[in-house]
Order: sequence, then structure tokens, then C-alpha cells
Amino acid sequence: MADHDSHDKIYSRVFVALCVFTVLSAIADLFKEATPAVVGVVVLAIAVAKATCVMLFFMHLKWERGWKYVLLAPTTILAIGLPIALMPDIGWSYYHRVPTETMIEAGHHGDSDGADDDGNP
Amino acid sequence: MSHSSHPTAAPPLQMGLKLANSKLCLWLFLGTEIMFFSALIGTYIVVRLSAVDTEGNGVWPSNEITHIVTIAGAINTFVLIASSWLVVKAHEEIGRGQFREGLRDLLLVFACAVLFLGIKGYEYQGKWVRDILPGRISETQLQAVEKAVRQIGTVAALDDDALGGAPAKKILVAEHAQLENLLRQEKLTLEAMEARVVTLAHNKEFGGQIESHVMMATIYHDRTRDDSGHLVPLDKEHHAAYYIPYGNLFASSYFTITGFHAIHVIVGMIIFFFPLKKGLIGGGLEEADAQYVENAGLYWHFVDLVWIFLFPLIYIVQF
Repeated sequence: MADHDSHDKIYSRVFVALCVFTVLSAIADLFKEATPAVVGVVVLAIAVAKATCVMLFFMHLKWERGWKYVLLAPTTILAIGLPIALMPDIGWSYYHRVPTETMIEAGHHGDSDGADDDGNP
Repeated sequence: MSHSSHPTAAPPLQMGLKLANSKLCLWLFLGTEIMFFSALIGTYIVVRLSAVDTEGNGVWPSNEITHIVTIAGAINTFVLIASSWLVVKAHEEIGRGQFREGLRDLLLVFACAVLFLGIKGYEYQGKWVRDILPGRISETQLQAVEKAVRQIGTVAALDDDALGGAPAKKILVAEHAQLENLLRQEKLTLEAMEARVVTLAHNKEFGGQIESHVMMATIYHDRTRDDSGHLVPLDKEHHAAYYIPYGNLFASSYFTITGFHAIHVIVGMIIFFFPLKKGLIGGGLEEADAQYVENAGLYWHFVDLVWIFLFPLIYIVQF
């Protein structure tokens, strides 16, 4: 019975921690205009912390045996490898890009928005 | 000659891992699910980074333009977290024979899933009314004018009564034909074309139809131009931009990722339906059901896990 009670307490604490993390993410959102890069890193770090809590406690991985490594390591490696493999060609560009119509319009769109905000043509 | 006298080359069979077969199968299934969603999310990150202007600056459409409501995402995050907590509670309670409490918590999990889909539906509806859908978003000024002319054609095809009588319809049909010609022959600037579209919304007979069917008129009618010659948005609440560069890439990514996640929520509801049915009208839960609830919970936690990453990536991060 004592073991059950301690599990219940752990689950409740994890739930509270996850709620606090979610509130922190929502608060960080208020500052994304000023410091988008910092907020991006902070909210993703919070997401990793939340995911860790869910996997360790709610999914019981903290108490499972060694099979969890055999099962999860390959998928995790492949999951991380996929975006890294795609990134050089699509995400980053080594050569100068050939401007597409959308890219040109995106540039104009941004310019006109800025001009409107300042009230200057 | 007995078989036992020959040493066999095959390794001796042995018992499996010390966990239930159903749980092992579920974890193997989750392995494939991890691959599926990490492919979706990883590709989303990469295409999002690839959305740049000619200077190489990131120009992914902002939340205001695409009607992304951060508070709705935050509430949904809380709903899924609460449901995850309720599942582990239900599992513990059923395992120790507290079936009434376990059933109550499973019902609450089901309610959380319904609430999540309701909020998601509200968000989808916001996209639907603004035509923020894959393949339908104008990404350039020319596309926006083409779309407006096409939508005027739809209005011109309505009955006489809907357009305020035959004479009014005749005027609109003629105007549509003329706009099509002007667009094809490139005789007018796009700004001049916009002005003609917006003017149609002022017509006493069919102006209302134009306003409700032609996105450009809906957003811009009845407003003057600013100093730089751009039409000023009619309604800040609409938040919709005149045209959205990379809008279709956004819409495809958004609906694919959140759509597949929503399907997983629906599947979760089906999974939870069976113990609920048994508990409510099927003779009641028993301790043997704890294993089923644990497996169902593992699946549900994974659905929660995916949303934990989708919330910051779709609603908050701007890179």
C-alpha cells in the first residue's frame, strides 16, 4: 500500500511540474517579439523537460529494465538523423539561391509591412 | 536413434522479456510511431527554415496572419497533460481494486479528449473561414488578383434573385468578363485591378455577395489607400493578410501534422471506449483490466508527448 501511495504522490508531483512548465512556456510566448531566438531555445528546452517527465514517470521508463534502451535507441538516433540529413540541402543554402516568385514577394511583403508600421512610404 | 543424441546447431529457445507480450507489442508499435512523427516534425523544421526572402531572412507567416491562437494551444496542452495524469491514476486504482475511482478517471480522460478536439475544431474553423487551406492561399499579388477574379466569376454565376435582379447580374457578368480580359492582356496594373474588385463590393445590388465570396473585398473594401498606395486592412480582427508568401507550405505542414495528431486522439478515444463500456454497462471493471489500461495509457502518453513538442514548434517558436 505504501508503494502505491508513493507512486500516487510521484504522479501528482509530475502533473504539477508539467502544469508549471506549460505556464512558463505561455509566459515565454509574451517575449517572443523582443527576443525570438532566446524564447525559441527556452520553450524547446521546456518541451524536452516535459517530455522527459512524461516518459520517465507516466510511461514508467524509470522503472523498466534494459530492454528500453534496445528498443528506443535506434528510433531516437534515426529520428534525430532525419532532419540533420535534410538540413544542408533544404534548410541551409550553400550557394546563392535562385529567387522564386514567392521569395521575391516575401521580401516586398516584409518591406511594405515595415513602411506601414512606421507610417512612411 | 534418438534426437537427443545429436547436438543441434540451433540455439536453445528461451523465454521472452520479463514483461507482458501486449506491453512489448505496444512499445514496438510506439517505436514506429516515434519514427512517423519525428519525420513529420523534422521535415516541418527543415521546410520552415527554408522559407526565406531573397536576402535570406526567415519569412515564415506569423501567428497573426495564419490565425494561430497561442492560448488555445496552451489550453490544449494542459488538457492533454491532465488526461495523462488521469490515465496513470486510473491504472493504479484499477490495479488495487478501486474500480469506481478508476472508471471515473477513465471517463474524465475521455472528456479531455473530446475537449481537445473541440478546441482544435475551433482553431480549424478559424482557418476555414479565412481560406487558409493548402493550395488555396495566394502567395503573390498576382495570385491574389487572379483568385479575386475567379471568385467574382463564382458570384456572377449565381441566380438573378441573389444578385438583385437580371440587370444587376448582367452588369456583374460583363464586369467579370472585362476583368478576365484585363488580367490576361496585362492592360492594368495589379493595384488598379484591386481597386476595381474592391469597388464592386460597394454595389447596392450584389455588393453583399461580393463581400462574402471574394476574400480580397472582404478584407479590404470600404477603406482608402495609405501613403504608399497600399490598401489598408478593413478589420484587424480578421488578421488575414492580402497574400501570404509561403502560406501554402504553412497550411500543408500545419494540417498534416496537427491532423495526424488529431487522428491519434480519436484512435485513443476508441481505445478508451472499450474499458468504459465494460465498466458502465458490461459488468464492471476487474483487476485483469489494469494491463489493458496500462497499454492504453502508454499510447495516450505518446499522443501527449507529440503535442508537448508541437505546442512550442507551431505556436511559439519564430525562427
